[in-house]
Amino acid sequence: MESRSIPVYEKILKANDYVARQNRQLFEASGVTVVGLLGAPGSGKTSLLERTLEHFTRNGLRAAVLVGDLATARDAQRLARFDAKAVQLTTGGACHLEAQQVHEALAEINLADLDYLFIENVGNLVCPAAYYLGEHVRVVILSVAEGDDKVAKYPTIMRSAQALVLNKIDLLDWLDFDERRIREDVHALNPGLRILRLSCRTGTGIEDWIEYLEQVRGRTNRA
Amino acid sequence: MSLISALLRGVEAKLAEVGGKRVRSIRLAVGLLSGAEPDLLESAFAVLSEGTACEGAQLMIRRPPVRVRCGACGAEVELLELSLRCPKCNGFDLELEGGDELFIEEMEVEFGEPQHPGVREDPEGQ
Repeated sequence: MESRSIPVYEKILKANDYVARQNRQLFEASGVTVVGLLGAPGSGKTSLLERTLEHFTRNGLRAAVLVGDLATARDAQRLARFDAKAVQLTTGGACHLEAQQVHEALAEINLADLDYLFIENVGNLVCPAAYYLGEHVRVVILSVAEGDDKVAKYPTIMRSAQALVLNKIDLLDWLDFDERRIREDVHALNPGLRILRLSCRTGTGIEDWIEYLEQVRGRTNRA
Repeated sequence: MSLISALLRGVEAKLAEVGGKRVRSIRLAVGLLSGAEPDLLESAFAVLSEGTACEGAQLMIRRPPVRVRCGACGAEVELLELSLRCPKCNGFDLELEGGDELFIEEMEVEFGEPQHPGVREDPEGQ
């Protein structure tokens, strides 16, 4: 049988990147600032969204949330008490969101009515790194209880992000967590990565986070 | 798993584009920093390729090393893991040049028997 070698040289995730760019165009066209949230299970992704939406509700900012979850709608239920639309994306066991799922979910949201859209990924520090969704910024949440080696251990996701939130800093007194180590690893891997320290439980540092969101919005709106 | 579904979709699109019949082998570049694991890719490929034009194809996975360039001393170095400092000058200002690839590089395609109009028996025609 005749056979031939065909050069391809295409990204495996070419189709995902293509849809992600379409998502991005939709975001730009409607003037919404889109923040991707990634982090391990229990790092505080949903808690940070609760704090954020509390602030937004008080200040008349309009937001919606896409929540990726393996099988349940619990995160969306937690967010339902706020004046923000939450759409649950159940991935059916997949460990990350893909651009196409986000694209389909956008049909349920009126982007032009929003200041911010948050995309909470499935709790995982590996697979989501490779799947760009079209977000303006990627924020990784790391709770200090997870250990100070996590930046070095997950270089791919840390390199793909623009901000790193260190959550649960109210626990620092009880942990052997060396923040210097985190800063050194960040400096080496991704020097532009902004580090924000906060505690969703006590509220410490939340105002810095909100200020960061405002800066991102300022940058995305200037275009 | 979903990397492999994306791979199969990409390969099948290419196969249709070149008019091929079956895929004999696929060569991938999966960088050491890409976050993907060759063993897992291979087992996912074995399962997901069943019943497709890629069934039985050989998956060849090349693993490009991490390549960095040092902004301080200009050294270009290949590393087996992401080092945080330049091995030459100990500087911090490293720029990543490679190692995060997730590429389909090449595929070997079978085209079936060459078609000779009139020679082949065609039960539908005539």
